[in-house]
Order: sequence, then C-alpha cells, then structure tokens
Amino acid sequence: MIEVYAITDRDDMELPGEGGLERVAHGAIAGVYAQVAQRPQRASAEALWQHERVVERLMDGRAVLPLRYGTVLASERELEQVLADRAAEFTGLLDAVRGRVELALRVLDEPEAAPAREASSGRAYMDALARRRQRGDETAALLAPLEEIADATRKRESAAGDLTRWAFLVERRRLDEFNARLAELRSSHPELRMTCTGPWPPYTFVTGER
Amino acid sequence: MSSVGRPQAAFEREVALVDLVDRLLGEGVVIAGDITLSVADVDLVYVGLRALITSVGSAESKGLLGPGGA
Repeated sequence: MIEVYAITDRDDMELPGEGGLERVAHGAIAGVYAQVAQRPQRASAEALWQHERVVERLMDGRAVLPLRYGTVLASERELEQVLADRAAEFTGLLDAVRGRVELALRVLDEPEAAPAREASSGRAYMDALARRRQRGDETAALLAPLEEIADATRKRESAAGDLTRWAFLVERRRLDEFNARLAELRSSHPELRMTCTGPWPPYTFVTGER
Repeated sequence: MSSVGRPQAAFEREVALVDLVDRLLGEGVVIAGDITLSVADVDLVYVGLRALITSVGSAESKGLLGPGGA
C-alpha cells in the first residue's frame, strides 16, 4: 500500500530524505509516494504538518501538484496507471503552477451585516441579504490590487456566508510585491478583518471543477 | 509556508493550521475515490475557528500578524 504525496515533473533531482519517498514515472511526469502499512487514521495537526513539510521540500526546485491528504493506492503500479490515464491533465496543471505558490487570505464580514434568522419579515431578511451581497462586492473590489498580481484567483464562501476564503496563485518572484500591496490594503482599510498565510503549495489550483 | 518560517505566536499557528486543514483535506488533486478521512476529522480541527477569526482585528493591533501574515 502506498500513500501518494504529489505529482511532479519527471526529473533526476534527488528526493527529500524525509518520509522514505519513492517515485514512479510515466512520460514527462512522476508520482511521489511512500510505502505505508495502513491508511492514515486521523487527521491530527502533527500528521498534517508533517505531510505539508514533505510536499514543501518537494517544491524546492520543481513544479508540484499536491494531492488530497489521505490518498492511498494499492501499489505503485496503480499510481503509474493514474499517471498514464491523466497525463495531459497533469502536464497542463504543472505548466500552470510552475514557479508559483499559493497565498491564502480570509476576510470576515462584519457580524452585524449578517442577516438575522429572526428577521422580523421576509422583506427585512431579503434586504439584509442584499446589503451583504453588496458588501461582498465591495470587498472583492478592494482586493483587486492583489488579484492583479495573481495569475489565478479562487474565492470560496463559508456555509454561513460571513467568511470568505480567497486563494491567489502568485509567481514566487512577485511575493514581495504581493506582501507590499497587502500591507497597503491593511493600513488603508483597517476595517477589513483579514488573515493571510503562505506561501503554500498550489492546493487550491489543482483541485479541478466542483 | 517554508520561506516565511514557521509561525511562532499561538494565534498565528492556529490560523495557519486552519488554512492547512482547508487545503490538505479540502483541496489538492484527487486520484482515489475513497479518501478515508471523514468530515468529522475536519470538524475537530475547526472547533473555535469562528472565535479565532473574529479576534483577528485585535490580534493584528497587537502586532501578532505582520504584513503578509503568518
């Protein structure tokens, strides 16, 4: 049984020493994996960070498509078959993320802008929803300077709709520029509640349609 | 998260963990139909997320998050 970490360009560079990594290649791409005795049972913070460290080391000098955590296949032969079946898709994705990293931004909508469940009437509820939608549009407009620097942007809303998660795919060489614009945004709009983390492997940009 | 170093303050660690969970368990290439980890595993990590993010404003004013975040 193997746990798969990532799909990468096929290259002759040494794999990171950590994690007992091996790889199987097909054409111009390769799958990186480790032998495991059993499937991961729990997503402990420690296990997730350990996994993340391995993927980050892999990113050192190569383009990487990180896999969903917990991806376990029966054998390397099975992985090779996946590479063969989806070679064109993976090659395209590798080209899209090469030299780029992901930055994570969360923006919290002001609590008072969230429509109250107990809104006195359907009309009041609809008004509150419309106000919040407008706020969301305004926030998106404010984030335009970040979006300009990014090669791709993804936006996902929390189920409650009050927390928006943005992901930006940015060239490594433009990270300083991104940080400068973010700092500018923070000082000119202190009312925006934002957290930004990264750089991450490009998880959000390899997920596919959903 | 390598080039900016591991976040030190507890708050930054928490924020980074939430972003990590979102990515490892919710994103990434899917090649196997039977990812074993359940949403319940994720929920465990999510406990307190709302309170955490809500406290961002005050945390930033204390200088815990520099430009560019954790």
